[in-house]
Amino acid sequence: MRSTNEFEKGIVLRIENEPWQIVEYHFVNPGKGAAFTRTTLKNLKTGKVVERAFKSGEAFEEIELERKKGVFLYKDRRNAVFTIGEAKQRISFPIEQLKWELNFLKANTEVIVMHLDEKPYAISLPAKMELKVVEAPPAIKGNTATGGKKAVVLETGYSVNAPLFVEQDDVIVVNTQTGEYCEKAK
Amino acid sequence: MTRNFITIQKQRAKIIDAIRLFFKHKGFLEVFTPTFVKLPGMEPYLNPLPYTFQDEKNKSYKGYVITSPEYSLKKLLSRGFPNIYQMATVFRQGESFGPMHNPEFTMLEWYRPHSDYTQIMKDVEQLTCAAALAVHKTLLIPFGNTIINLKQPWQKISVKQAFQKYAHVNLDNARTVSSFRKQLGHKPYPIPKNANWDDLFYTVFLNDIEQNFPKNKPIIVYDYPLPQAALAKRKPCSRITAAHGANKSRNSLQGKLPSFYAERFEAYIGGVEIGNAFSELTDWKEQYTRLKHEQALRRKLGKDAYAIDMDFIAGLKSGIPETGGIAVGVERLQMVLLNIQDINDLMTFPVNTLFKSE
Repeated sequence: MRSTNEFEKGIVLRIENEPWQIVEYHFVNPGKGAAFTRTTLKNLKTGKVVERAFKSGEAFEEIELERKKGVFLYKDRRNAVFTIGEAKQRISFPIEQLKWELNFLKANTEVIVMHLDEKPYAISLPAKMELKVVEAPPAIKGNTATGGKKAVVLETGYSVNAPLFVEQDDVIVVNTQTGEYCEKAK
Repeated sequence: MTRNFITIQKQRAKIIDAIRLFFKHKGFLEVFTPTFVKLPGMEPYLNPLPYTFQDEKNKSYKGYVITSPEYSLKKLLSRGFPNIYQMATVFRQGESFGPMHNPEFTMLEWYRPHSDYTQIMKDVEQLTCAAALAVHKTLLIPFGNTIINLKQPWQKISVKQAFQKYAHVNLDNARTVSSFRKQLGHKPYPIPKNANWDDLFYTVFLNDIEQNFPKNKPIIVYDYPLPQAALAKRKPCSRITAAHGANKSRNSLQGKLPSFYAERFEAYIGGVEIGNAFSELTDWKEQYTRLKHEQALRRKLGKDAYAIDMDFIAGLKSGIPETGGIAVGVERLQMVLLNIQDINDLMTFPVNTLFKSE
């Protein structure tokens, strides 16, 4: 059981029989009543995001998530397909559910597949990933109006702002949380 | 932080200047009352900080840091003081270190004898506008992703209307825990176990209501149910009832159910709660009863249950006029007016840096 004062971002609680992940939380004290904890919760089954307030001291069952190693294979018009574990069991997610992750996924990328009640429900990417630049406009000398940055296109089709010295066929490191350029791969 | 730290502190000072100027123009007297007292506020859900000090003979005195200067200010009113205000340093334990809370903060309180909470509503609107003009020269102020329009008069909604509109709860039929609970059968959020009346009130208020308050303008939420207004005057029975009563015998008037609401309001700007006001309870007997009740609740909640401040009761007994009063969190007001989302970006020495662990 997790009490409100043990809340953390990312943990999953069973509330009214549904799995809710804590996205955000903070303390409120109306002064004329007990203190409360305000939270933003994401339902891991439906993806629905809600705001909820709980009286301080209320406790909920924590759901342990199972993390399994997986590999991204390919995507088609509807689904993104992965294999899980040694047995290479195939699973797929609708592409709408992985809009963000697919910006960085190329064939054979290793990922973590989060499981809830034995069912896969989400993909966790490595925090940083190396991707090849397939399109980079030439740097125009003295062009500092854009803060010394230019948009380059990665092999996954994702476009990112990179320093002017980045060229086509370079491999760069991208932060998969923010989607921003980190550095040139060594 | 994009703004310079010194700039923020200069703007804070400008707001304080504007507050003092506002009260000076209105003929209020600024008063100074103790921060350390023997008997602090009895509010069951606030946690005053205990302290002990010694005199020159090493005799110990036990007391608390105030959570509000309210008792002291009302004692002054009972001694015939006119319109008064104070900006007091107050302290609350058991609260988080941000983004909307700092254990030590500044409470601005003002009291108007021979008046009520409707006049205080006008005051808080005018004061906020005066302070906004002092720093922005306009009533359109940026806050987060929106622009707040402070133009008067501010929107107003009663607590009863808000519960009806946003939560489909009829507070008239929620006077007891069981009748309140019965109306929450289909709520999509859990109702706390062993919830008392206040817990039910805030569970609904925070889950269904507060987030509906406008972000681009202020709103005043008024007339709170009695359990939510310990120091406020009970509303008279509705006018219709009073008119009826005039033609009926005294007995039938007394037979009427007394109002379930008290004259309290809260002001929200951009969704941030900045102040809490009352038509002050001046009936010493009712005040004493309510404090007794709160003391018992403190005991039940396992909190310090200190004695009732009988000087405060004696003050009310000696008579104070009908009075309107309010407590405004000065740092909250500054945050809204200066577009600061985290109180730690406002304070010179936020408590989370003063007491950081390792």
